[in-house]
Amino acid sequence: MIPAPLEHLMKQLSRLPGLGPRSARRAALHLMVSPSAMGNLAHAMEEVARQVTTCTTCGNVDLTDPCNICTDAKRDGSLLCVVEGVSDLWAMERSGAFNGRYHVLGGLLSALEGVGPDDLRLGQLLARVEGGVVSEVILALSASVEGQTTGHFIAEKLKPHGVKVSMLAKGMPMGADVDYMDEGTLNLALTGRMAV
Amino acid sequence: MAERADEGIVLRSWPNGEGHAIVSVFSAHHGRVQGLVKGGDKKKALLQPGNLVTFVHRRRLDSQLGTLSPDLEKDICGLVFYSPARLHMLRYVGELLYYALPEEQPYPRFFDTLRRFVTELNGAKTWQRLAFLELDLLGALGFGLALTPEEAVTDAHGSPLYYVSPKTGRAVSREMGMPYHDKMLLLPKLFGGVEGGFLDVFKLTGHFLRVALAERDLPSRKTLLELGTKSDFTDA
Repeated sequence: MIPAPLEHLMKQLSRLPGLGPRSARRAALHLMVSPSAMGNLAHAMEEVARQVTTCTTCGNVDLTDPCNICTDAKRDGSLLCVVEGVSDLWAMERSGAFNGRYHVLGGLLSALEGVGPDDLRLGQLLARVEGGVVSEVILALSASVEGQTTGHFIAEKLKPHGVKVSMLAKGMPMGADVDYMDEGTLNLALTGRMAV
Repeated sequence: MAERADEGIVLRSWPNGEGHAIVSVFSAHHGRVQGLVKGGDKKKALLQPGNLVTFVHRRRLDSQLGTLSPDLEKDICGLVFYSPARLHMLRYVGELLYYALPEEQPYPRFFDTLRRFVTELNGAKTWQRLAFLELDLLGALGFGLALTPEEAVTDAHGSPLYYVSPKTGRAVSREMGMPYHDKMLLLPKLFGGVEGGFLDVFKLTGHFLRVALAERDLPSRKTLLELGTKSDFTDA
């Protein structure tokens, strides 16, 4: 009933993260009824495939290798922020709170997903630290068991190199009420409390 | 529509489709239960391994995955978040039980043991309690070890229990086991032997867990034991 090329498009779209079969069908039908949108999308994808590259130093995506962040002389090279993926790097950049450099791990250790240390960019991280410029590594990984255990693993690996290793604080989000906090979050917030 | 409410411990969860998650929970009365958590993407804090939850599982047919609506009873993960060894234990136990326990097969006694283990994870002697948890799991799965003097293979001279047979899981006295020294496993002090530390304990349980898991190796166990060795198996 559905033409084969359209079905193929829907199948490819449904494989994208955050899209299921229903969303893929909706998107494919939308593209069908709007040929200009389809052309623009195809062109944009082609441009990205042709121009955008992965930085071999930090794992960020940019038009150049090394990327703009790695070559920016105004950034503090002694601070290295380790993030799980490029979207986390973008989130950190949006905050405008960090002026150091980044290292994109490319995932988290997960035995159940079959992701081991060799699947992450850990070797490159150790090589950057061995370079001698980095004095502090900030682990900005997700506040989950996988994120935290990956953080501990990296901290162990970095121990012999004598650099300071820190993790992002965990606790209450902005605008949250104490009585709505679950006990785990409150516990983390209490553990990481600050003097005022 | 079949509906069942129970209490359980989260073993693992993974994303599914558009903002949902599939979660595997070891429950008190229904064993290991899996279900789709709608909007699970926004309930990640609740779905961390080790967390104690109450849930309602609904499905039309037994062959269906069904939906699972969990509510947090006790946030275990948050309580041990800054303790590397304990956090690794939670992760390992979740992985171990996910692979070891069959679906929908209740183990009420082992559930109580696990519940006690996770709720007291912030306490002392965590490595010791992990060792006994593994021992209890082996027993629940039908691979129980026979380590008491009454069950052991002894000799007429009353030499102390020293070995465990890697085939039968039965304790063997030093004299009876000596001819097979190279093949035997050491009965560690913690389980009633005369020598051997935590590495011997986990070597023993690890051998039989591998059998129970059909030779599957769990990387998280290896990482955990490396962590334990570095800290000399002290609570951290």
